[in-house]
Amino acid sequence: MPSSPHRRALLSAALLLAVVALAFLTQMLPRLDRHEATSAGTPVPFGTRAQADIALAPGSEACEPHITIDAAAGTATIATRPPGRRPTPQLLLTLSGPGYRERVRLAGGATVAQQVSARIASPARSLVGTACVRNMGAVPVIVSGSGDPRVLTRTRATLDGRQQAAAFILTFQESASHGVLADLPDMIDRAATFSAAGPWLFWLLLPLLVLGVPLAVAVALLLALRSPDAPEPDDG
Amino acid sequence: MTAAQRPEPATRSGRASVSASRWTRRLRATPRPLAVLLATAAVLSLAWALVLPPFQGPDESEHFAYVQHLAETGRAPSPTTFGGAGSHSTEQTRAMDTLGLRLLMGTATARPSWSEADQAPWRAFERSLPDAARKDGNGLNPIGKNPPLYYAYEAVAYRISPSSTLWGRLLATRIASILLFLTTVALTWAAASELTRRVWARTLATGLVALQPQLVSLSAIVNADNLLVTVWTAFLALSIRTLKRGPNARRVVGLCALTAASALTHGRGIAILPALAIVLAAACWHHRPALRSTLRWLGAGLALIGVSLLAFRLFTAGNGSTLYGGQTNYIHHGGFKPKELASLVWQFYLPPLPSMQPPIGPAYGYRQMYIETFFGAFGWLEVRYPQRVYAAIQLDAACGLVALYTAVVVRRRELWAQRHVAVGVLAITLSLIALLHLVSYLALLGSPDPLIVGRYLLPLVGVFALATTFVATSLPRKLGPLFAALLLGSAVALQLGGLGMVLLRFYA
Repeated sequence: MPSSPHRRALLSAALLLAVVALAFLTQMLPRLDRHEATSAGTPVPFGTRAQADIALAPGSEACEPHITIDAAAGTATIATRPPGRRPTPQLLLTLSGPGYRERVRLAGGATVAQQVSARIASPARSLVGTACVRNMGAVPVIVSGSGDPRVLTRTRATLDGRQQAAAFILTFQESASHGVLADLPDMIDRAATFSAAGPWLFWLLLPLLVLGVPLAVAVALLLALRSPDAPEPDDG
Repeated sequence: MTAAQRPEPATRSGRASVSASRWTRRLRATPRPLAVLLATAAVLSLAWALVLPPFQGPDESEHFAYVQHLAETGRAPSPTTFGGAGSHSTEQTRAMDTLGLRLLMGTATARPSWSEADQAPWRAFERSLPDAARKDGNGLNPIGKNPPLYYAYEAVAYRISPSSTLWGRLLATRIASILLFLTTVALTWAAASELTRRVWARTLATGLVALQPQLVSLSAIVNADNLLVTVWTAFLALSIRTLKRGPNARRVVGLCALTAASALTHGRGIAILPALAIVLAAACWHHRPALRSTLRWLGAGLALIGVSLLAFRLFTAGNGSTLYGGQTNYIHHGGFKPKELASLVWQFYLPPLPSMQPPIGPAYGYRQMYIETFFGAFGWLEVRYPQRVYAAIQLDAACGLVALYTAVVVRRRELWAQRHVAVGVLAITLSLIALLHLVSYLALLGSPDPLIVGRYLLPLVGVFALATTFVATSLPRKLGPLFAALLLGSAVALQLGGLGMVLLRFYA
């Protein structure tokens, strides 16, 4: 039977691990099970600083070059709203690049601002191409865009061939979401792309983080509680 | 005497061996809980450095640009004049623009361009870069007004980086920041060791620093605040030692050297000057050292500070900035009203009194600074815990403050005997907070930005840890360790949660 201070040390270390486990079960585990669409690229993302919309008259077409279309892209999303009370028309989204061309119709009929998505066939390998949106209906539509200079350094839309001070919002998502754990290898590969360390270091750190850190802190506390009071530090 | 008979080489090797064995002894003498916490802190900080994409910490793009320019040219970038490729080198600008890293800053829905279609041209571009493309970030870089000490330290890491790619040099400079963080963790142990002999209490104080989410995420990026935190924690530890044991030449000159280091690290570092004056006054008042010796130590220390400031003045004269322009330029906005400042500070923490006007500036106060951005707002502050987590931290902080007050009352006799130490620690705390409020008020006179975030409080992370440990050691003997376990467990959960959120934000 361990003595009382030792029991107290064990109890404290166990409490520490229990707090971590409780936080994991109640706060993190539900998020691990999330099945939101995984991003496959955000050439012109939502939520940039300067909103700058593009008005598409019937038959008009807006295009933006230098758009990266990833091989994992399975869905394309833009944002539209009607300029008045009449519902938004149908749009035609064309994605093209070397050896790749995809045309999909985006549903209309919205009377308020909304995001419109359509499934696309992904290219065989990622490429830099052009995205165009054509108004196929008989009423105008506003395509939401951005005038953020950080966007415009990369791409800038043309409207019927005329240069605009804006780019329309365009994002890609993977066609299926597999949950956070299943997506983890992809996330690590993506993170490693921006680091001098290879993916191996990320994989090495993962168990150290998830298991090693809580255990190490518990061990530190355990060791501390089992240590006798320290002598006064020397008078240096 | 022949060469073989000369004793010098033998003496030199003997000296080296003595020195090596002294280091080995010191390493072996490292308390095991501290060693474990240092290893934990290293793993966590490295994980943050890998998970945060390039330039995705507060102002990291500008701090790195400063480091690069200093390492490549020996000069700081200008904070006032455009030149060369601008605030960043051609290399850094191209990376930020073509890989979506500039757009990523603060835009929560954006993702970096990880696709091979973007990466391959970037790698080809990087291979073809002339050296000049790394040297042309001449300015205008607003961070160029900062003193050079941190950037000089980082420039060494930049130069000795084994990888010559941009990501390699960035990782090397981030690792240099991690080393500063590990020093901070060790210094917290030293500070706690001056105040308590209980090893679990030292472990709690050190663990709170090693696991502080905002500090660990900051330690993984290039930002001068990292050195400021280390210097202030060293100053705290040495102040407590001086106050407890009395001033001597090493301690007084050491405190002055740390003051100089603080002033040479960041404009906010000058807040240490009143703290130094009060700590030295309290130490001399309590220990009554011989006047002559004291004046001699003080003279040496003040000369050190004077020479440092003079060197900084000469340095700033070269790049067109002014001494502590970031802190003092706001004074020229005019309109300073002490009553308005008092009202602003009051309403920062408390509801307004009936006689008070609404404060100038945005709705920003205690919750935003002491809770949200002190405990964890990552990236460019756009990655945040759920609001319920901040609410829980705020509740805990309120309970902690009540507990601290109670502990002070209960242990008032013990504290009264050590009042000179308490005065010193309080002076360190209030010096920084007062400067932050003053600069924030002056900034608000000329712009809507309050220029105050929780990250600026991190130099006081050691004080935060010691105050929490004081509460823990004031609890009944059986409860203290359990309280420590609760706090450390929560800190681990916040760490891992924060890392997970950052991974999802940038790569999912």
